[in-house]
Amino acid sequence: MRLSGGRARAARGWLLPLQLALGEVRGHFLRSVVTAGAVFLGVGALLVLNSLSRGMEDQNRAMYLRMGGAQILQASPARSIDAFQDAQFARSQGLRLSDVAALRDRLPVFDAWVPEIDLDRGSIKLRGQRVFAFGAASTWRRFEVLGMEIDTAVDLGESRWESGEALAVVGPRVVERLGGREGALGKEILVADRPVRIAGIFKVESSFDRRSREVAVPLSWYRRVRGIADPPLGSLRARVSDLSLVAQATEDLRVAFLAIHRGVPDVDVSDNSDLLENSQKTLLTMRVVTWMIALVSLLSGGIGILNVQLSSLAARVRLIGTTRALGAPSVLVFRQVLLESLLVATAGGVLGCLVGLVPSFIPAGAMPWQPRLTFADLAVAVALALGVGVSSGLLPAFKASRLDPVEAMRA
Amino acid sequence: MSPTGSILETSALHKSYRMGREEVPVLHGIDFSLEPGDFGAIMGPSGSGKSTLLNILGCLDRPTRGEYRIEGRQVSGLSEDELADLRSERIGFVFQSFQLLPRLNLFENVELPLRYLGIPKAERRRKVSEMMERLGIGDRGKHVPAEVSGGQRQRAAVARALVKDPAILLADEPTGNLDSTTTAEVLDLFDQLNREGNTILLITHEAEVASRARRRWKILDGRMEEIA
Repeated sequence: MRLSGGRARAARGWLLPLQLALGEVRGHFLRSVVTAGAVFLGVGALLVLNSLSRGMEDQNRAMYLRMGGAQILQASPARSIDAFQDAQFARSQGLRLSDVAALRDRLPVFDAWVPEIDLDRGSIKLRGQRVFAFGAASTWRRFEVLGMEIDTAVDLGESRWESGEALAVVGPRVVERLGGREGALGKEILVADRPVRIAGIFKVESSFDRRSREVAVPLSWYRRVRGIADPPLGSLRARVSDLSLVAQATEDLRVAFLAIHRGVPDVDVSDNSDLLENSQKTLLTMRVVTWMIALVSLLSGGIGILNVQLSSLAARVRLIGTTRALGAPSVLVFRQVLLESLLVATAGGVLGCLVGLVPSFIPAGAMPWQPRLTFADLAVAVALALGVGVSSGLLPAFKASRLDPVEAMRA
Repeated sequence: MSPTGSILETSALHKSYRMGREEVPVLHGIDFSLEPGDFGAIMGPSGSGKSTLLNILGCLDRPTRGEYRIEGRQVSGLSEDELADLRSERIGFVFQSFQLLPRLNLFENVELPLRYLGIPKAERRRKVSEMMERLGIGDRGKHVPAEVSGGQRQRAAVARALVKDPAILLADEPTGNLDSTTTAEVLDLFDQLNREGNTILLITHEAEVASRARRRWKILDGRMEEIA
């Protein structure tokens, strides 16, 4: 008797089962494609939704930083919630420009104050037609504090702005009808039924940026043309000089408002961290939903593969029995059937990854935010696909490897 | 090789199956041996136990009682893995319905047992080519089983069984699915292989097929006797 031990070598290898598995997958191409479809959908959905939520997160963070990050506090008129508050608010003047001077003296911890008046949207017109835009009258400092960059300007500067000239800095989409940036400069636009000269265009990263539809005019001009010395404000932003003082400064600002408004709580004070926190919560919810969708798809994909593999096993019991009779070790049969599942799941996963990458290649500015994927996202997606392949292939592989050759060949 | 020189040797071999609470005997004390270079045939009607005996001789099944030796090695005490090793290296099977793998071409089908044995590619290719040439199907290697005739399929199945140079070729109704012309062709091939020194044992229910063998046994109701 001579036993070469070659079987042990063959049993240790993965090449032969891989080739046999590839042949089986290729032989049932349509079935394999359909089976891989569910994994493809799961991985694709996971990556697409993940890239979108990452893009949103990036945009929120950028916006947060542009708005001065955690150092900016915002005061805005409070809304009364009952008759008692109505009566209280009637005793106060509300948030007004004169508050700025009073606060500046009391609170040296703030190094910048930005009063802002929201303009009536219907009051912005171009060539006699209303323009969809967000209007704001404010000081020159607003551009610096809120990180608003102006990339095209003519005869524009702080002194002109603060002296009350009829100027406007607008977003690029506001002046689309005037032939773009260069064509729009120097042209007139109507704000509050008064002509103002377009002296600058905001720099925006995408046409979905809110600033692409903004019209900013000098607060001093607005006060002059409206004849209001102490206009009510839409908001008042204040920058804390030191990040470590934000908590105390927030409390100080609330107290100061109460003091100058005769104890009437008619102004709400908030910081940008609330904004970031809220958007992070929304994103977290989106992430959870994304994962739920992906996991359900992948689970159904796994069940699909399991079902197909079990049916396929039943259909080729005889062939498996033959290979066992010819000397195929049970470990080889196990690997072949496992690899079949793995190949199908991997194919679905790779296609899903390719589709999932598509949004990341969309040119910047074509979407409200730039989708982004990380290598870890791809690695997790591939690992999930492989996990589905392995977990759905284990049972059929085990059953196939345990088939009794005699019984199998009788089937 | 065994001290007696036999390739296969059984002694008081019994096999029974349990059906519910009942024990159904299939083989009753089979004493049998096959010498190197023998061409034997076991004849018997359906249900006589001949397939059960072939499965035991081919190490696909185990006897309930009795002894079985291949080349002198006691088989009864071997584990499943050892039986599989024995099957892989020392026994060549030819099945009634060819049992070629439909997705592999004839060359790959014949090559398969050598791949299970872990034989290097170049040696594998040489052995397969030689065997296919020897069996007259050297030019059909690239065809899948569905593209060749029944006789060519059976030749491929024989090539697959012989390519690993087994101690014995076991054939289970090798002509059962063939027409008379192809049957004669396959039996001529077995004759030729036996003349070349291969030990062959086939089972059949056809006396005409059995008559081509040099030794014949008749099995009936689980008992076997050699026919002179």
